[in-house]
Amino acid sequence: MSLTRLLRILFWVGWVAWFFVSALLVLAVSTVSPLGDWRFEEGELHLTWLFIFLWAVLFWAYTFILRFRASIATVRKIGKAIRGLPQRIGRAAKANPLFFITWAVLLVGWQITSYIAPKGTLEHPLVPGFDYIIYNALYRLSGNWDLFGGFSLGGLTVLFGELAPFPAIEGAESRTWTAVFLALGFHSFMTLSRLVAGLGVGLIAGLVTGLALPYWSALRQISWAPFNFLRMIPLLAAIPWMQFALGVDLRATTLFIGFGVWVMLVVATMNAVANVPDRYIESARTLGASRLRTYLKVIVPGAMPELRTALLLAGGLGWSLTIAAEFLGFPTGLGFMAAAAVQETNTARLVIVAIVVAFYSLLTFYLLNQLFNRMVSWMPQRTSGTTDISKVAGAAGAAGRAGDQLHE
Amino acid sequence: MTSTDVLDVRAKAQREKRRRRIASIIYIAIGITLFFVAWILLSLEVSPWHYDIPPPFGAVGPFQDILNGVWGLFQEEGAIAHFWHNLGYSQDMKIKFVHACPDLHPSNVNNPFRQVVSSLMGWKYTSETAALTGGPLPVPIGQLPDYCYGYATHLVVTIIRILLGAAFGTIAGLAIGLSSLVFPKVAQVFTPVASFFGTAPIFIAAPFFVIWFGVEVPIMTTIGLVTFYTTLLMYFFSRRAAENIPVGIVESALTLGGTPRSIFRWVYLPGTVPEIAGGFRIALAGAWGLGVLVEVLGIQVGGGHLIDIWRFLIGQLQAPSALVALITFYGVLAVVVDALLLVIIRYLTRWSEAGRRLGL
Amino acid sequence: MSRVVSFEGLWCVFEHRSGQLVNALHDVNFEVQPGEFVCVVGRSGHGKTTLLRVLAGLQPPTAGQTRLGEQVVEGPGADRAMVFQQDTVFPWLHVRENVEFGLRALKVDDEERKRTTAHWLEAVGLTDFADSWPRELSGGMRKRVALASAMAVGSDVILMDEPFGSLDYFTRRNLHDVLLDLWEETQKTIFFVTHDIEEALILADRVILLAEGKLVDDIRVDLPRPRDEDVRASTGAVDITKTILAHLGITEEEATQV
Repeated sequence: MSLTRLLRILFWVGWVAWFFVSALLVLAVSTVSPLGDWRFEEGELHLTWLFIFLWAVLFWAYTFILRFRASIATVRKIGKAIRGLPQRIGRAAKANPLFFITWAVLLVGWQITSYIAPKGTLEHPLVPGFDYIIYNALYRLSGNWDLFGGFSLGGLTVLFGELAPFPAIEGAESRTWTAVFLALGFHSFMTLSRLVAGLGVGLIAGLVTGLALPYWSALRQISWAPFNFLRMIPLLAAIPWMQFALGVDLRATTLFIGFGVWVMLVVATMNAVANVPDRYIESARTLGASRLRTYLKVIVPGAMPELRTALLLAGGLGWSLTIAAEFLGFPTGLGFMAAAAVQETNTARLVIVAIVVAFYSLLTFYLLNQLFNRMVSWMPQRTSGTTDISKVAGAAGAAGRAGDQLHE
Repeated sequence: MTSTDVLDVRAKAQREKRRRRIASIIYIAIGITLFFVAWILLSLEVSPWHYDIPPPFGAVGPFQDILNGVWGLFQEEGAIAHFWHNLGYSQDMKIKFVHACPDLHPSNVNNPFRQVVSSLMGWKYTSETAALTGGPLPVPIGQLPDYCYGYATHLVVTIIRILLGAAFGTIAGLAIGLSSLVFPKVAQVFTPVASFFGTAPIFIAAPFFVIWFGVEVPIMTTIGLVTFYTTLLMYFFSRRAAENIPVGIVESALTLGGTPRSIFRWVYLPGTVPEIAGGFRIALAGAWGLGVLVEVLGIQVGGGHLIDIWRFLIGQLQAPSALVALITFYGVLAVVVDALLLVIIRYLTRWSEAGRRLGL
Repeated sequence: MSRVVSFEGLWCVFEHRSGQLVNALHDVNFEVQPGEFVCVVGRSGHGKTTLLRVLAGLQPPTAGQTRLGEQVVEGPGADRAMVFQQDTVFPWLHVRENVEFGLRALKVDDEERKRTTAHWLEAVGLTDFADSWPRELSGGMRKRVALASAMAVGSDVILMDEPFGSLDYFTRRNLHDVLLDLWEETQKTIFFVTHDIEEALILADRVILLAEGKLVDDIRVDLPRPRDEDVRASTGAVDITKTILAHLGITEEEATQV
C-alpha cells in the first residue's frame, strides 16, 4: 500500500521534472538536426511554434507512456463529455428556459442599445456592439502583444518575436489574430501567477494562524482587537500605499494579497473554531483524549465545514485585490489592460477584459470548491432541513389561488 | 451545606464572572497596545520600513521620543497628527489645490435637499458662495471659502455617497430577492445574471462606471458602483436566508391557512432578518473599499480623490503619513459603523440564537 | 481492578440568568459496587444528567466529591467513558477511526489497538461498516459506534446519558440486547440515565430515583434475566413500577399544590 503511494508521488514529481527536462531535450534537437526552426544562441532562445508543439508532445507523452490506460480513459471521458454537451444544453434549456431567454434578451438588448445609444465625443462608442467588440477592439488587442524584451529565466532569455510580429514595433498593419491570443495569454499568465502566489500564501498562513491562535485562550483574546481592526480596513483603498511601500513586483503583490486573505481567514477560522459543537469536545474528553489531541483531532476538523464561505470569499478578495493592484500601477496583467482601456475610454476592450476575468474567477471558485470538498469528504450532504423555495412559494401561490377560487 | 453556603456559592460565581470579564477587557487592551507598539516599532529609524510607515503619534525616535510620542499627539509627522492638521482648513491643501465644495455646484443652488444636507454638515451657504456658483465651474481657486480646503468635506461627501449607494442597493437587492420568493420566475430570470456578475470581481465593473458617469455625473460613479455591488450581494443573502428557513415552518404556515402574502409577511420577512442583517454587514464592509477606490480612478471630489492626490505626490515626506492616515480613518469609520449596526441587529434579532452570537 | 463508585455529599448549584439559584443536585450520597448496572431515573430537569456529568468530570460539583475507589474525580478521563444523548460520533472520522480514537489517545501499540478495535466492532456487529463514514449509517448504528468507542478504551465505568432516547422502539430494544450482552461479557459498572421506566426495568440491577436533585429512593431490581415481557408483567416488576410512579407522582402533586 505504501509502495503504491510512493510510486504515485514519484510519478507526479517525475512529471514536474520532465516539464523541464523535455524542454532541454527539444533545445538539443536544434543543434543535432536541421529540422528545428528555432534558434538557440548565446543563452538566447528564439521561440517558435514548432518548439512549443514538440515540447507539448513530449510533455504529454510522459503520462501516456507511464499511465497508458488511465490516460486513455481520461481522453475518452473528455470526449464523451464534449459529445454529450449539446444534449445536456438541450436538457437544461428545456428544464429552465428562462435562463437562456434572459441571456438572449440581455445580449440582444446590448446590441440594440449600441445602435441607439449616443456615440459620445470620444474615439470609441460608449456602448459598443458585438461587431465592434470582436472586429475592432479584440483585433486591436494584438497591440498588447509587446514582449520584445523577452523573458529572462536565470541564464536563459526567451524571445517571442518568431511567434507573431509585435504591432507596437512594426505598426498597425502587422496585427494578427495570433497576437491577440498571445497577448491575452501573456497578460492572463501574469495576473494568474500573481493571484496564485498571493492566494496560496494567504490561504496557508490564514488557516495555520487561525487554527493555532484559539488553542491558547489568552492569545485568542489578545489578537481579537487587532485582527478585527485590520479586517475592517478597506484594503482596496490601501493599494496606493502598498505600491509605495512594497513596490511593483511579484513579491509586493504576494505580500499584499496574502495579507488581505490572511487577515480575513484568521477571523473566519477563529469564528469557525468557536462554533464547534461542545458535545464533540466533551465526548473526546471523556474518551481520555488530551487537550492537544482533542484540539487537533476534534476541534480542527469540526471547524472545517464552516470555512466554505470563507474560502470562497478569500477567492473573491484575492481577485479583487489582484485586478485593482494591477489597475493602479502595474505594466502587465489583465488589470493593466483594463486600466489602459480606461485611459483610451475604450469600453469595448473593457468588455473583453471583463469576460476573460469572469471566466477565470468562475474557474477559481470551482477549484476552491473542489479543494474544500476534498477537505471535508466526510461531511453529510445537506438534504434535509432546507427548502426548495420556488416549489414552496409556488405551492403557496397555488394554495392562495385555490383559496380565492373557494371564495368565489 | 446551608442557605448561607448557597449565598456564598452565588457570590463566588459572580466574582468569577466579574473576574473573567475584567480579564477579557485587559486582554483586549493588551491587544490594542501591542498593535500600536508594533506600529511604532515598524516606524522607527532602525526599521527597514522607516520611510514607508509613519509613526502613529507624533515624532517617535528612540526611547525618549517614544515617551514624547504620547504627548506629541499633535506633532507634525505622525499619521494622526497629519490627519488632524488637514481636517479643517489647511494651507497645505490649498497649495495642492485640493478642494471640495459640492454645494457650490450650480445644480445644487436650487436644490432644497442639498441645502438641507449642506446646512447639516456645516457647509456655509452664504450669498457670497451663491454668487460664486452663478459663474461657470470650476470656481477660481482663490475665491473658494476656507472650509473647502480640508479633508472633512471630501470625507463627508464620500461617506454619504457610499451610504446612499448601500441603501439603494439593499433596497433593490431585498426587493428582488424577497419578491422572488413569491414569484419564482423572478429568481429564474435574475439568478443567472446575478451569479455571472457576482462571481466576476466587482472591481472589473468599476471602469464602466468611470467611463459612463465619470465625466458627466461624477456622483453617480461611486453611488452607482456601490449600488450595483450591494444589490448583487443582498440578492444572494436574501435568497440564501430564505432557503435556510426550515421547510416544516413554511408547510405548517400553509396548513394554518397562510396565503402567499401572510407567509411572506409573517414567516419569510422576520425569519430572514438575522442572515440578511449579517449579509448587510459584509456588504457594507466591502462597500467602503470599493467606493473609495472608484474615486481614486478619476473623480475630482471625495475621499478617494485625496488618496489619488497623495499617490501622485508620493515622493514627498508627508505622503506616507497622509496615505496611512486616510486608510486608518476608513478603517476606524468602518469599525464604528459596524459597531452601530451590530447594536441594531442585536435588537432586531433578539429572538434568534444566531443573532445573539453575531460578532463573537 | 474494578472500583467502587461513591458520591459523597454532592451539591450542584446553578445560577439562572435571572439570578435565581437552582439546586441541580441536593446532597446526594450513595455507593455503587463494581459491575452493577445502575439506572438513574427522574423527570427531566431534576438532576439526572448533572449527576452523570459530575461523575464524568465535565462539571465540577459545588460541594462534596465523587470517588472511584480511593481516587477523587477531578476531570474527564478514559476510566469513565461516556455515551451522550446527542450524536457524538465524529463525522470526520471513519467508523474504525472513531472506535480507535480513545485507544490512540492512550498510546496503545498498533497491534493491540487493531485487535481491540476489531473485537469491539465485532461485538456491536459493525465489522462490515468499519470503513464507512458515519453519515452513511443509521442513527441506531451510530449509537453502536459510540458504544464501541466507549467500551474500547477499557474504562471501569461506562456513563450513558439517555443514549437511546432519540431512537425508534425497535432499534432501542435491539440496542438494549447489545448493551446487556456487552455488560455481561465485561462486567463493567454502567450508569444509565433514562426517563423511561420500562427501559430501567429491562436493564437495571438498581434504580436511583432523583427528584428535584434529591435522591428519593434507591430500588433493587431483583428480577430474573432476560427480562422479557413475562418478567416485566410479574408482580415484582409491577410493584417496582408502582413505587417509581408513586415517587414521581407525589412530586407532581406537590408541584400542583404549590
